[in-house]
Amino acid sequence: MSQALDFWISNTENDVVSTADAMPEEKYDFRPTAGEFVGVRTFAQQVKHLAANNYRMAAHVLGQPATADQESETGPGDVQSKAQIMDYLRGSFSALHQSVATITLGNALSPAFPERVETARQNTRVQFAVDAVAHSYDHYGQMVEYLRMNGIVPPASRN
Amino acid sequence: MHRSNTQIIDFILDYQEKRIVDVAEAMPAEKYGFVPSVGAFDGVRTFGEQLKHIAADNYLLGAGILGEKPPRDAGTEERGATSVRTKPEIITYLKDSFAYMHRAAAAIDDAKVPIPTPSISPWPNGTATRLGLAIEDCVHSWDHYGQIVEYLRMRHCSVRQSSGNQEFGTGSDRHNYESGARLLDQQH
Repeated sequence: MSQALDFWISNTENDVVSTADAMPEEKYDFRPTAGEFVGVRTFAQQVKHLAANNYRMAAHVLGQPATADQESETGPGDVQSKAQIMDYLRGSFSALHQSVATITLGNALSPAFPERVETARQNTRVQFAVDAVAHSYDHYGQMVEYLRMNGIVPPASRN
Repeated sequence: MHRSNTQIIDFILDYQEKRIVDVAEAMPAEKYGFVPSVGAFDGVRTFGEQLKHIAADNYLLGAGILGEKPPRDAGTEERGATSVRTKPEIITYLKDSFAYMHRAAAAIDDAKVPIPTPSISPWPNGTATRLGLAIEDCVHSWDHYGQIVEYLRMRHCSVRQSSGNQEFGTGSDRHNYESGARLLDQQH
Protein backbone atom coordinates (compact mmCIF):
# COMPACT_ATOMS: atom_id res chain seq x y z
CA MET A 1 0.00 0.00 0.00
CA SER A 2 2.83 2.35 0.83
CA GLN A 3 4.27 1.63 -2.63
CA ALA A 4 0.98 2.43 -4.38
CA LEU A 5 0.74 5.76 -2.58
CA ASP A 6 4.39 6.59 -3.11
CA PHE A 7 4.05 5.81 -6.82
CA TRP A 8 1.40 8.49 -7.14
CA ILE A 9 3.32 10.96 -5.05
CA SER A 10 6.26 10.52 -7.48
CA ASN A 11 3.98 11.00 -10.50
CA THR A 12 2.48 14.10 -8.94
CA GLU A 13 5.91 15.43 -8.05
CA ASN A 14 7.18 14.97 -11.61
CA ASP A 15 4.20 16.79 -13.11
CA VAL A 16 3.96 19.61 -10.60
CA VAL A 17 7.67 20.39 -10.16
CA SER A 18 8.33 20.46 -13.92
CA THR A 19 5.33 22.74 -14.43
CA ALA A 20 6.41 25.10 -11.65
CA ASP A 21 9.90 25.19 -13.10
CA ALA A 22 8.59 25.92 -16.62
CA MET A 23 7.11 29.28 -15.59
CA PRO A 24 9.69 32.09 -15.83
CA GLU A 25 10.35 33.86 -12.54
CA GLU A 26 9.01 37.17 -13.89
CA LYS A 27 5.64 35.47 -14.49
CA TYR A 28 5.30 34.01 -11.01
CA ASP A 29 2.95 36.86 -10.07
CA PHE A 30 0.72 36.14 -13.08
CA ARG A 31 -2.96 35.68 -12.53
CA PRO A 32 -5.49 35.62 -15.36
CA THR A 33 -7.59 38.72 -15.95
CA ALA A 34 -9.56 37.98 -19.14
CA GLY A 35 -12.68 36.42 -17.66
CA GLU A 36 -14.14 35.78 -14.21
CA PHE A 37 -10.87 35.73 -12.27
CA VAL A 38 -11.35 38.22 -9.42
CA GLY A 39 -9.55 37.04 -6.28
CA VAL A 40 -7.89 33.95 -7.76
CA ARG A 41 -4.37 32.95 -6.79
CA THR A 42 -1.26 34.03 -8.66
CA PHE A 43 0.89 31.26 -10.13
CA ALA A 44 3.24 31.53 -7.14
CA GLN A 45 0.33 31.35 -4.70
CA GLN A 46 -0.97 28.25 -6.45
CA VAL A 47 2.40 26.53 -6.00
CA LYS A 48 2.78 27.59 -2.37
CA HIS A 49 -0.79 26.59 -1.59
CA LEU A 50 -0.32 23.16 -3.11
CA ALA A 51 2.99 22.66 -1.26
CA ALA A 52 1.61 23.87 2.08
CA ASN A 53 -1.11 21.26 1.90
CA ASN A 54 1.46 18.60 1.05
CA TYR A 55 3.39 19.47 4.22
CA ARG A 56 0.15 19.52 6.18
CA MET A 57 -0.90 16.10 4.96
CA ALA A 58 2.61 14.68 5.44
CA ALA A 59 2.47 15.79 9.07
CA HIS A 60 -0.98 14.28 9.50
CA VAL A 61 0.14 10.93 8.08
CA LEU A 62 2.62 10.91 10.96
CA GLY A 63 -0.09 11.88 13.42
CA GLN A 64 1.49 15.30 13.90
CA PRO A 65 -0.12 18.75 13.79
CA ALA A 66 0.62 21.11 10.92
CA THR A 67 2.14 24.56 11.38
CA ALA A 68 -0.10 27.62 11.14
CA ASP A 69 0.98 28.47 7.59
CA GLN A 70 0.40 24.88 6.54
CA GLU A 71 -2.99 24.77 8.19
CA SER A 72 -4.01 27.98 6.39
CA GLU A 73 -2.52 26.49 3.19
CA THR A 74 -0.71 29.69 2.29
CA GLY A 75 2.86 28.66 3.06
CA PRO A 76 5.46 30.84 4.79
CA GLY A 77 5.38 34.56 4.02
CA ASP A 78 9.14 34.72 3.56
CA VAL A 79 9.09 32.18 0.71
CA GLN A 80 8.85 34.60 -2.20
CA SER A 81 11.33 34.11 -5.03
CA LYS A 82 10.97 31.36 -7.63
CA ALA A 83 14.03 29.58 -6.21
CA GLN A 84 12.59 29.68 -2.70
CA ILE A 85 9.19 28.49 -3.87
CA MET A 86 10.76 25.64 -5.85
CA ASP A 87 12.72 24.55 -2.78
CA TYR A 88 9.59 24.74 -0.67
CA LEU A 89 7.69 22.71 -3.26
CA ARG A 90 10.35 20.02 -3.60
CA GLY A 91 10.60 19.82 0.18
CA SER A 92 6.87 19.20 0.40
CA PHE A 93 7.15 16.12 -1.78
CA SER A 94 10.15 14.88 0.20
CA ALA A 95 8.04 15.21 3.32
CA LEU A 96 5.27 13.19 1.67
CA HIS A 97 7.66 10.44 0.56
CA GLN A 98 9.06 10.15 4.08
CA SER A 99 5.69 10.10 5.77
CA VAL A 100 4.07 7.65 3.36
CA ALA A 101 6.97 5.24 3.90
CA THR A 102 5.64 4.75 7.44
CA ILE A 103 2.26 3.47 6.18
CA THR A 104 1.73 -0.24 6.55
CA LEU A 105 -1.24 -2.52 5.98
CA GLY A 106 -1.58 -2.54 9.74
CA ASN A 107 -1.86 1.21 10.30
CA ALA A 108 -3.15 2.50 6.93
CA LEU A 109 -6.82 2.64 7.83
CA SER A 110 -6.70 3.16 11.56
CA PRO A 111 -7.10 6.62 13.12
CA ALA A 112 -4.03 8.84 13.04
CA PHE A 113 -5.41 11.29 15.63
CA PRO A 114 -7.20 9.88 18.68
CA GLU A 115 -8.95 13.22 19.23
CA ARG A 116 -10.57 13.01 15.78
CA VAL A 117 -12.11 9.59 16.32
CA GLU A 118 -15.47 10.94 17.37
CA THR A 119 -15.44 13.70 14.77
CA ALA A 120 -16.13 13.73 11.06
CA ARG A 121 -12.66 14.90 10.04
CA GLN A 122 -10.32 12.89 7.84
CA ASN A 123 -8.41 10.56 10.08
CA THR A 124 -6.70 7.72 8.25
CA ARG A 125 -3.21 7.76 6.79
CA VAL A 126 -4.54 6.71 3.38
CA GLN A 127 -7.00 9.61 3.36
CA PHE A 128 -4.27 12.12 4.15
CA ALA A 129 -1.97 10.74 1.45
CA VAL A 130 -4.73 10.65 -1.19
CA ASP A 131 -5.81 14.17 -0.19
CA ALA A 132 -2.29 15.44 -0.95
CA VAL A 133 -2.13 14.00 -4.48
CA ALA A 134 -5.76 14.71 -5.38
CA HIS A 135 -5.48 18.32 -4.21
CA SER A 136 -2.17 18.72 -6.02
CA TYR A 137 -3.71 17.62 -9.32
CA ASP A 138 -6.58 20.10 -8.99
CA HIS A 139 -4.04 22.92 -8.81
CA TYR A 140 -1.77 21.27 -11.36
CA GLY A 141 -4.66 21.52 -13.83
CA GLN A 142 -4.93 25.23 -13.08
CA MET A 143 -1.16 25.80 -13.30
CA VAL A 144 -1.15 24.13 -16.72
CA GLU A 145 -3.73 26.65 -17.93
CA TYR A 146 -1.74 29.54 -16.46
CA LEU A 147 1.31 28.31 -18.37
CA ARG A 148 -0.60 28.05 -21.65
CA MET A 149 -2.06 31.53 -21.16
CA ASN A 150 1.55 32.73 -21.11
CA GLY A 151 2.40 30.96 -24.35
CA ILE A 152 4.19 28.06 -22.66
CA VAL A 153 3.35 24.45 -23.49
CA PRO A 154 3.36 22.40 -20.24
CA PRO A 155 6.28 19.95 -20.00
CA ALA A 156 3.93 16.94 -19.86
CA SER A 157 2.45 17.94 -23.24
CA ARG A 158 5.76 18.38 -25.06
CA ASN A 159 6.79 15.62 -27.45
CA MET B 1 -12.87 4.60 13.56
CA HIS B 2 -11.84 2.26 10.79
CA ARG B 3 -12.57 3.48 7.28
CA SER B 4 -12.24 1.06 4.42
CA ASN B 5 -10.58 1.89 1.13
CA THR B 6 -14.01 1.67 -0.50
CA GLN B 7 -15.38 4.30 1.88
CA ILE B 8 -12.43 6.62 1.25
CA ILE B 9 -12.67 6.35 -2.54
CA ASP B 10 -16.47 6.65 -2.48
CA PHE B 11 -16.21 9.86 -0.53
CA ILE B 12 -13.75 11.38 -3.00
CA LEU B 13 -15.89 10.29 -5.95
CA ASP B 14 -19.01 11.85 -4.44
CA TYR B 15 -17.18 15.08 -3.78
CA GLN B 16 -15.55 15.38 -7.18
CA GLU B 17 -18.65 14.31 -9.10
CA LYS B 18 -20.54 17.17 -7.47
CA ARG B 19 -17.80 19.66 -8.31
CA ILE B 20 -17.31 18.49 -11.89
CA VAL B 21 -21.01 18.21 -12.71
CA ASP B 22 -21.58 21.69 -11.23
CA VAL B 23 -18.96 23.09 -13.62
CA ALA B 24 -20.42 21.12 -16.53
CA GLU B 25 -23.88 22.51 -15.77
CA ALA B 26 -22.59 26.05 -15.37
CA MET B 27 -21.13 26.23 -18.88
CA PRO B 28 -23.80 27.18 -21.44
CA ALA B 29 -24.44 24.53 -24.11
CA GLU B 30 -23.26 26.87 -26.87
CA LYS B 31 -19.86 27.17 -25.14
CA TYR B 32 -19.19 23.43 -24.96
CA GLY B 33 -17.01 23.78 -28.04
CA PHE B 34 -14.94 26.49 -26.35
CA VAL B 35 -11.21 26.10 -26.50
CA PRO B 36 -8.87 28.84 -25.26
CA SER B 37 -7.07 30.67 -28.02
CA VAL B 38 -4.88 33.33 -26.41
CA GLY B 39 -1.66 31.53 -25.52
CA ALA B 40 -0.17 28.11 -26.29
CA PHE B 41 -3.42 26.21 -26.70
CA ASP B 42 -2.93 24.44 -30.04
CA GLY B 43 -4.54 21.01 -30.01
CA VAL B 44 -6.01 21.19 -26.51
CA ARG B 45 -9.42 19.74 -25.74
CA THR B 46 -12.63 21.74 -25.95
CA PHE B 47 -14.67 22.08 -22.76
CA GLY B 48 -16.97 19.26 -23.88
CA GLU B 49 -14.01 17.07 -24.80
CA GLN B 50 -12.52 17.59 -21.34
CA LEU B 51 -15.72 16.25 -19.77
CA LYS B 52 -15.88 13.28 -22.13
CA HIS B 53 -12.23 12.51 -21.39
CA ILE B 54 -12.89 12.50 -17.63
CA ALA B 55 -15.82 10.15 -18.20
CA ALA B 56 -13.87 7.89 -20.55
CA ASP B 57 -11.17 7.35 -17.93
CA ASN B 58 -13.81 6.64 -15.30
CA TYR B 59 -15.14 3.89 -17.55
CA LEU B 60 -11.70 2.52 -18.45
CA LEU B 61 -10.24 2.54 -14.95
CA GLY B 62 -13.48 1.30 -13.40
CA ALA B 63 -13.38 -1.58 -15.85
CA GLY B 64 -9.76 -2.23 -14.88
CA ILE B 65 -10.73 -2.42 -11.22
CA LEU B 66 -13.64 -4.74 -11.95
CA GLY B 67 -11.74 -6.85 -14.49
CA GLU B 68 -14.36 -6.43 -17.20
CA LYS B 69 -15.04 -4.49 -20.40
CA PRO B 70 -16.24 -0.88 -19.99
CA PRO B 71 -20.06 -0.71 -20.01
CA ARG B 72 -20.01 2.30 -22.34
CA ASP B 73 -17.91 3.12 -25.38
CA ALA B 74 -14.87 5.03 -24.11
CA GLY B 75 -13.80 6.00 -27.62
CA THR B 76 -10.29 5.99 -28.99
CA GLU B 77 -7.44 7.52 -27.01
CA GLU B 78 -9.71 8.22 -24.01
CA ARG B 79 -11.82 10.66 -26.04
CA GLY B 80 -15.16 9.21 -25.07
CA ALA B 81 -17.94 7.97 -27.33
CA THR B 82 -18.28 9.91 -30.60
CA SER B 83 -22.05 9.50 -30.40
CA VAL B 84 -22.13 11.64 -27.25
CA ARG B 85 -22.30 15.24 -28.50
CA THR B 86 -24.82 17.54 -26.85
CA LYS B 87 -24.56 19.05 -23.38
CA PRO B 88 -27.33 16.81 -21.96
CA GLU B 89 -25.74 13.75 -23.55
CA ILE B 90 -22.32 14.63 -22.19
CA ILE B 91 -23.62 15.27 -18.68
CA THR B 92 -25.50 11.97 -18.66
CA TYR B 93 -22.40 10.18 -19.97
CA LEU B 94 -20.39 11.85 -17.21
CA LYS B 95 -22.83 11.04 -14.42
CA ASP B 96 -23.09 7.43 -15.57
CA SER B 97 -19.30 7.17 -15.50
CA PHE B 98 -19.23 8.22 -11.85
CA ALA B 99 -21.96 5.72 -11.05
CA TYR B 100 -19.78 3.07 -12.64
CA MET B 101 -16.73 4.16 -10.64
CA HIS B 102 -18.80 3.81 -7.47
CA ARG B 103 -19.54 0.24 -8.52
CA ALA B 104 -15.82 -0.29 -9.01
CA ALA B 105 -14.99 1.31 -5.66
CA ALA B 106 -17.21 -1.25 -3.96
CA ALA B 107 -14.87 -3.95 -5.28
CA ILE B 108 -11.82 -2.50 -3.54
CA ASP B 109 -10.87 -4.39 -0.44
CA ASP B 110 -8.15 -3.55 2.04
CA ALA B 111 -5.75 -6.18 0.78
CA LYS B 112 -2.87 -5.74 -1.62
CA VAL B 113 -3.90 -7.79 -4.62
CA PRO B 114 -2.09 -7.13 -7.94
CA ILE B 115 -4.38 -6.89 -10.97
CA PRO B 116 -3.63 -6.47 -14.70
CA THR B 117 -2.50 -2.97 -15.65
CA PRO B 118 -4.96 -1.19 -18.01
CA SER B 119 -3.36 0.12 -21.19
CA ILE B 120 -3.89 3.74 -20.14
CA SER B 121 -2.15 3.30 -16.77
CA PRO B 122 1.47 4.03 -15.94
CA TRP B 123 1.78 1.16 -13.45
CA PRO B 124 4.51 -1.35 -14.34
CA ASN B 125 3.08 -4.82 -14.95
CA GLY B 126 2.32 -6.65 -11.75
CA THR B 127 2.19 -3.52 -9.57
CA ALA B 128 -1.34 -2.22 -10.21
CA THR B 129 -3.87 -2.72 -7.44
CA ARG B 130 -7.54 -1.81 -7.24
CA LEU B 131 -6.74 0.96 -4.79
CA GLY B 132 -3.95 2.21 -7.06
CA LEU B 133 -6.27 2.42 -10.08
CA ALA B 134 -8.92 4.17 -8.01
CA ILE B 135 -6.37 6.77 -6.90
CA GLU B 136 -5.28 7.17 -10.53
CA ASP B 137 -8.87 7.81 -11.54
CA CYS B 138 -9.42 10.37 -8.79
CA VAL B 139 -6.25 12.36 -9.46
CA HIS B 140 -6.89 12.29 -13.22
CA SER B 141 -10.34 13.80 -12.71
CA TRP B 142 -8.92 16.51 -10.44
CA ASP B 143 -6.31 17.42 -13.07
CA HIS B 144 -9.04 18.07 -15.64
CA TYR B 145 -11.30 19.68 -13.07
CA GLY B 146 -8.56 22.28 -12.54
CA GLN B 147 -8.54 22.91 -16.28
CA ILE B 148 -12.30 23.15 -16.81
CA VAL B 149 -12.57 25.61 -13.93
CA GLU B 150 -10.16 27.84 -15.83
CA TYR B 151 -12.14 27.37 -19.08
CA LEU B 152 -15.28 28.38 -17.21
CA ARG B 153 -13.66 31.49 -15.81
CA MET B 154 -12.33 32.41 -19.26
CA ARG B 155 -15.92 32.37 -20.49
CA HIS B 156 -16.90 34.78 -17.69
CA CYS B 157 -18.87 32.08 -15.89
CA SER B 158 -18.55 30.92 -12.30
CA VAL B 159 -20.05 28.37 -9.97
CA ARG B 160 -21.28 28.91 -6.45
CA GLN B 161 -20.67 26.07 -4.07
CA SER B 162 -23.67 24.54 -2.44
CA SER B 163 -21.94 24.37 0.93
CA GLY B 164 -21.09 28.06 0.99
CA ASN B 165 -20.91 31.11 -1.15
CA GLN B 166 -17.34 30.80 -2.33
CA GLU B 167 -16.36 30.40 -5.92
CA PHE B 168 -14.03 27.67 -7.06
CA GLY B 169 -10.36 28.45 -6.78
CA THR B 170 -10.61 30.57 -3.67
CA GLY B 171 -9.06 29.48 -0.43
CA SER B 172 -12.10 28.23 1.37
CA ASP B 173 -13.04 25.47 -1.05
CA ARG B 174 -10.26 23.34 0.39
CA HIS B 175 -11.62 23.72 3.87
CA ASN B 176 -15.01 22.69 2.62
CA TYR B 177 -13.33 19.55 1.31
CA GLU B 178 -12.11 18.51 4.71
CA SER B 179 -15.24 19.59 6.55
CA GLY B 180 -17.11 17.67 3.86
CA ALA B 181 -15.52 14.54 5.24
CA ARG B 182 -18.40 14.41 7.67
CA LEU B 183 -20.41 13.02 4.78
CA LEU B 184 -18.32 9.90 5.06
CA ASP B 185 -19.50 9.34 8.59
CA GLN B 186 -23.08 10.11 7.77
CA GLN B 187 -23.15 7.73 4.84
CA HIS B 188 -21.37 4.86 6.49
